[in-house]
Amino acid sequence: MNDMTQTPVCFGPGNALMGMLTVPAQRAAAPVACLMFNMGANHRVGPRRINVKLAHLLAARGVGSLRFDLGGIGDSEALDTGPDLQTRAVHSLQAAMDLVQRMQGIGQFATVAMCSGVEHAMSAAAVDARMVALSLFDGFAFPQRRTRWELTVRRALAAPLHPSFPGKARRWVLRHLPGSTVGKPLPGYFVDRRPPNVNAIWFEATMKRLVEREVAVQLLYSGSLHVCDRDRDQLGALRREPFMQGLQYEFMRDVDHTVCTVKGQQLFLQSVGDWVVEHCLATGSPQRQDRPATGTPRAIPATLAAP
Amino acid sequence: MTLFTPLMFGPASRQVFGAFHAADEDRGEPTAVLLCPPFGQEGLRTHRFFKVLAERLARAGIATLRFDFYGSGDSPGDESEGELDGWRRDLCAAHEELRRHAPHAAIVWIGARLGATLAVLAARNGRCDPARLVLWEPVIDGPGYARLLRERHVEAIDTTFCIPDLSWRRSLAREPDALPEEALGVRLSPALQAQLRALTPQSLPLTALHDTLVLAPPDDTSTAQWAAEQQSRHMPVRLAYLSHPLDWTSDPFPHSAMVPADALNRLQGAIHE
Repeated sequence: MNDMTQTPVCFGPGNALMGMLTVPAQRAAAPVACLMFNMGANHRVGPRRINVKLAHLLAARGVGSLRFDLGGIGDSEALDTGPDLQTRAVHSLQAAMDLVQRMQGIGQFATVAMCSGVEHAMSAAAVDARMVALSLFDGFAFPQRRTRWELTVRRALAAPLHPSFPGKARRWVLRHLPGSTVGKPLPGYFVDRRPPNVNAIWFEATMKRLVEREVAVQLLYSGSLHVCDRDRDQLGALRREPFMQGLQYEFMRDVDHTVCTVKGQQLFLQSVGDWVVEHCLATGSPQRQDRPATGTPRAIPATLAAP
Repeated sequence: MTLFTPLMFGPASRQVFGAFHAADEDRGEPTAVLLCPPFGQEGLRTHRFFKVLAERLARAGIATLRFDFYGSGDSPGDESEGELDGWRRDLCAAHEELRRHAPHAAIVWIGARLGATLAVLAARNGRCDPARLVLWEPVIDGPGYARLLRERHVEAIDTTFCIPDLSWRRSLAREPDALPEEALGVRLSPALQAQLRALTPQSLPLTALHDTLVLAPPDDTSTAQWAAEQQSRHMPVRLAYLSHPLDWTSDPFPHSAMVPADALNRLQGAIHE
């Protein structure tokens, strides 16, 4: 582990946020740094510690990274900088960029986001031009009728032999019994506030904006959630849109949503690692480098722990 | 601001990450606590629990250090380097770090699962001097633990994939006692596999140097029997029962407790029992 330096940092409004900065020790870091953060309630190390493994891989290839907890999750204290989770998550991401900019002199970022983090990363990239690349795993999906039918048929055919089928069937019945409270979300928690069509409109508008700004985007979908994919199926009707053609899309059949197997982790790390390294080591275009960030860096003190 | 000081400590070649929660100055107690986390997915699952416990203890005047073993959590290192002897040394390094921050306090170790096992091994080694051990569901049967991890790994794959890879389940049925090379996203090094194979209740004697409280579920007869055997050797150990809804190996999901209040209260109270 001598090829990298790891430094725990507290930063953001009131030093409420906590993260781990990993930088290459033997050479100058790439001109673009990588950001990683929580997936769901997992803390900054990510599901199965995948963020740490990715940080080590990136550092070995010359890319620095900051993995951190959004406000209120993991080791970070809750922020009171915005009225809703989405706004506060954007503030957390901007604070992370401010920190790396101040400590490392790096002003461009590639962000790796998983699951619920995808929306946060897209929202931050939409308002802050410092984000130049997004790797998005198992985020928004809009499968159309043919894809949904194929998924249903494949599931139905596999069900009799599926070891989890009895348990899943029992839970499904319990959820659908009249008056059942099983599976009902608690008020205010885990509630998807937007219907799917609204999500699709938001995704399309935001993605169009990012592509216009030349933000590189990698879209990854796991085999455990989506089972099958023939031609960018998870993008639904959007897959034919001209602005979507430049995005990298990969369906990862052998990778599951929480990267539970070593094989799945290797595939994830290879795909994301190669893509992030490519976009972090490539010097940004002068046009991009000169473009001022819309989010103005704020003077927030960073606290470095003694190494 | 964060209610703790993040730090790296240990030898330069084997730094580990820790979070020191300073005691509330108004309620300074002559006790400090070192939290020893479980292994692998169990450690990730309980991160929030131990963070909240550390904050509570600090507010009660008890300085607390939590840390990640080398090659786990936020610490440097690769999982393939993980093994009990190195982790035992990490635990002693954490003890020394806590001693540096709380020089006059009696240090209590709270270990959970494999972290509790490591606490027993490190305390027996005699290189550090905990005043007391609190062992929460210690792993005393290595092969049984490895089998549990393997079963949970297969269940996780079955659950997550609509069309699972049945070779995992077949392998478990064919060789039920084989030590796994991976479990729930974590590689088990050959050294760790061998150490788990050799870990039995008989290989884990307590010493008379430390008062020990063992917390186990009421239906865990193996741990109760192990504690009884230690008592019969006149070791200062006591067994207490602790039931809780925490699923050690699952992912966090709705309706699955992350910080069960009963367990939190019980562990906080255990410091002074």
